[in-house]
Amino acid sequence: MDVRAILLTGVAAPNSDAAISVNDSPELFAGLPLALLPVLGRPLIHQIADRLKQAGVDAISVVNAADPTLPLIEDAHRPDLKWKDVSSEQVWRAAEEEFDEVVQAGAELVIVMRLGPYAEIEIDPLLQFHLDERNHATQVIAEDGPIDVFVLSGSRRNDAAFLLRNKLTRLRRPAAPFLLNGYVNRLCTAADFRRLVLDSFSLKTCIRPLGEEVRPGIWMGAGAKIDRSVRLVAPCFIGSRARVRSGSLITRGSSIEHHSIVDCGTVVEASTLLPLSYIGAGLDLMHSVVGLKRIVSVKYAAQLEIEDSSLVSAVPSTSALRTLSHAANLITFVPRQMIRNLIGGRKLRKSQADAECPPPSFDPGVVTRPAVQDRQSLTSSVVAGMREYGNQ
Amino acid sequence: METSRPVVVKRMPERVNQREARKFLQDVQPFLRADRPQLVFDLSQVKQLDAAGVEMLLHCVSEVMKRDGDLKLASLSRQATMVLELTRTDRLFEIYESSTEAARSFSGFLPNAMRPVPVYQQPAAPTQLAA
Repeated sequence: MDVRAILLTGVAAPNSDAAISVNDSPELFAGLPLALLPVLGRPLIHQIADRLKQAGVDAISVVNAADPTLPLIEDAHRPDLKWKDVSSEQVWRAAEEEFDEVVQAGAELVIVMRLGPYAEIEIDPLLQFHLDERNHATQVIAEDGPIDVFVLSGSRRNDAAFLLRNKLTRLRRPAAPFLLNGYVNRLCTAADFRRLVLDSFSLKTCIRPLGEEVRPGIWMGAGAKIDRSVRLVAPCFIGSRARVRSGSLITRGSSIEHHSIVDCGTVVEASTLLPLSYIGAGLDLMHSVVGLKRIVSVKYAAQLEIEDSSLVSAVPSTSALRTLSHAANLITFVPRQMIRNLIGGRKLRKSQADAECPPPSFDPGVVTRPAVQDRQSLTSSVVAGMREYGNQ
Repeated sequence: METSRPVVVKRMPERVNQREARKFLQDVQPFLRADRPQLVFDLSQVKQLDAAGVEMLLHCVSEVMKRDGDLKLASLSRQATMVLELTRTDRLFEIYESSTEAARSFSGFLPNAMRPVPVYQQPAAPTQLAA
């Protein structure tokens, strides 16, 4: 039987009225669909595509409504996935056209998935259920409600058109749904994304880290560079060509995706560093997802865009640019340190002088805590002192 | 992933103050100096753990790391858990429910035997907090 699949990405959940925007939309991280982000080394869409291929699906088309110029979208492309970028207004029309195309090419059954949620569906029982029930369209339902996965008969174009024109919210004819028993993650927020990583570490999903298990519970991708003084506590994953510099600690189910950099003495606890991200020296990153110059705290359900490149920044996406960037950093390191110490020392002396001689109108009752400017700047020696316990 | 090197399980005393910590360290010193040491500290009996005890744990982990080994903790008492969380040193260790599981974890990853990572929950709305 010829079975094909259409995956829809960057499409807002049908029951949400909000249009897709860059910030604070569900299922997005900085405008990128969570389903396109990598989990333990591979984009989630590849994991889903591979499961479909293993189940005998002949061809997979992706209709993407997310901005194709966004970083990391390129990572999700693969030769065996037929990729079509469309605008969010045109996505349902494009899906309908894609359905017609795959049917023309000979598909008898078409699986339509909106990503969206990550669900581990047993494809064979689903297809068998669809055929046994003689449904025109079958929706998959999880314990906590329906998910946007449908099986459509190739010969029922009207049912498919009706479903797609109604943005997967209504079936043309009522049909018995398929009850899913497998793993489901709604992937609405960064917290869901982190939960997916943790569930994968604890073998609750079929996702396995892409790399070699160098020690029990510690996976490392090809070309990852880890300093000898780094402490890796299982479970954790270091992606290919990632760098973890001296004195760092990677712990509690953290995942450092490919080409990311963790600078000296930084603690990464229960967090994910998305690909091509840099996190600065002497930081304490906990329960967060970092990437594309922003931090999303899972604990506080808050998002923060960071301009200061010494805290969080992006690593160039091409190897030539990365080499140039590393070379420039190396050459300018000593002059930068000298200037930093010079300016830092002056500021420190100024603030100490201010503290010793308060202004005449100074009222101690008004001041409840020291001003931010008066705090000691985070020079490398201070950071080293702070991080000392973690380096031992 | 299979390993034939021995795993040494050592039970920590009830009170881990400066004196006891030094004594304990002397006991485990030969194991720390082994090639790629594999150690498990059982903290089930620990009722008191002070800064000297935490420092001793950090010293041990740095020693085993130098020799490409590992130190894992098992059966943490509530008191030990509190002190390790307070000093934020708990994240430096793999922590298991029992010594047996900790010892087994040297030959293969046992996700179910590890102390669970806190489950993420959406913070309650301000009105609910006030109520």
